Amino acid sequence: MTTLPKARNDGLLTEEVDDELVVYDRETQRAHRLNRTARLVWHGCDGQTTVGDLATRLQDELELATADEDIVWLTLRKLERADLLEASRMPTPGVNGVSRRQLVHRLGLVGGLAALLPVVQTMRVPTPAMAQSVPVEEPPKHKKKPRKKRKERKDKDDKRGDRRDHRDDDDD
Amino acid sequence: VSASLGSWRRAADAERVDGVTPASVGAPSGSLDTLDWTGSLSLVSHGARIGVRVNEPAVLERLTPYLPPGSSPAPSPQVNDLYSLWVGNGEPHRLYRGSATLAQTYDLEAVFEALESALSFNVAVAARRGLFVHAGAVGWRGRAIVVPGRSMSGKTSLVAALARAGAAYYSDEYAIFDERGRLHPFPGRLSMRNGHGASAEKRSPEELGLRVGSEPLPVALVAVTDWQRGARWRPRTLSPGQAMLALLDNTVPAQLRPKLALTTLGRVVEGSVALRGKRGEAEEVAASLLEHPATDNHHQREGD
Repeated sequence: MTTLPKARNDGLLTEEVDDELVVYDRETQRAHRLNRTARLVWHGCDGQTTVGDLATRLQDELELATADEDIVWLTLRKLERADLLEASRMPTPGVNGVSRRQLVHRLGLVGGLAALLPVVQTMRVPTPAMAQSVPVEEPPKHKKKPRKKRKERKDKDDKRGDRRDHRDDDDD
Repeated sequence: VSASLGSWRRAADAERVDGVTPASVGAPSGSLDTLDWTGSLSLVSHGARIGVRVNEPAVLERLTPYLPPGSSPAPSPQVNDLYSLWVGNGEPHRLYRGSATLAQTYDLEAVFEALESALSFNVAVAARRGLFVHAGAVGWRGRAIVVPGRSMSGKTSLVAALARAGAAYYSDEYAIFDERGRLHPFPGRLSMRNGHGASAEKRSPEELGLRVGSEPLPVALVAVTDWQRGARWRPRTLSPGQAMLALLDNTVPAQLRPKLALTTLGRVVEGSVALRGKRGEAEEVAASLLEHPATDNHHQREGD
């Protein structure tokens, strides 16, 4: 039975907003938005609860079809990348990385239920001068790359797994 | 409001906020102190204490429209920040904050406008009361509509359109929120641009015929939007957490007072609806926002 790591507390400020959690990291000057699933997992990271126990808890809280440990692992990876876990306590995943797409299929999270997938949205908190300034525009896009075949794109997406999710996503 | 030059004091015990020395503590003005300053004023705005000194007393009278809205003469000449405006008399006019040069030009009006921006920004950073968020804001049916965004995002044209449609003008540049998440007025002059990307011309709300709100208001709507040529306003609703990040991204003292920022913005988003989307013409969006169900309120006050 794999034990969950401990959630990091030092240097963090938190604010609950509805069923989400906004975490301010004073060490990195970044803010993170944890959706309901990510918040539940982060709060469950006490260094004692097992991954299986938390999966069962998530099943109850989120009314999922099954207690799936991979949704816990997926969330842990996101929390770890956001530096919201105590680094030395991150356990080795019991399974290979699972992607959002795979979880969507396995848990039947279609339509609005996709919002139950874990989201950790990260942004850099502006300095006073940054908050005042004109935002930097993205550089112009260059020549379009040829479109890949759908199968190739899907395979690549599956391999990338949740890497896409850690960017400053705002699309859930 | 003028104080004698000899009475200037910079607050020696610069207050530390959340463990960080605020940017409001200006650098010593050094050799500038040896120049012949003949007029000065000190003001307080939202707890921020600021001084301005000039080498021509007549200039002080012309500064009034450029001072932060709602500011008042300070009872003490002790200030946290000191601005020095040197009228060139044939040489370039110069504006300093501490010893740092902010502007140097033959255009005195441009120096005044640079001072206006610097003073408002100074207040936004150093305010001891209220949280300043870079946003335009209006009052409508007893609640507020807030448009966060940085310069050139088109918020002024949207705020002006909302005000022309009957809303009460609260802010063009900074929305101020109290600890309950209510909006307070900071009705500065509006930076009107003739076309996107054109240089701005500042106009007072009175010149534009806008009605200015005064009552603190709970927030009904947060509209996160950028102007884009030809875009249609088809916003999506943000979750409270997404709305909070959008506001935090425009919060001036976010790094200086993160705890205040989180708790205050939490109050702002808990009772409001947040929308995000590209927009085209301001009038279309203004009408849509004013008709949004979130702005319905039984307690009608401002903008009735």
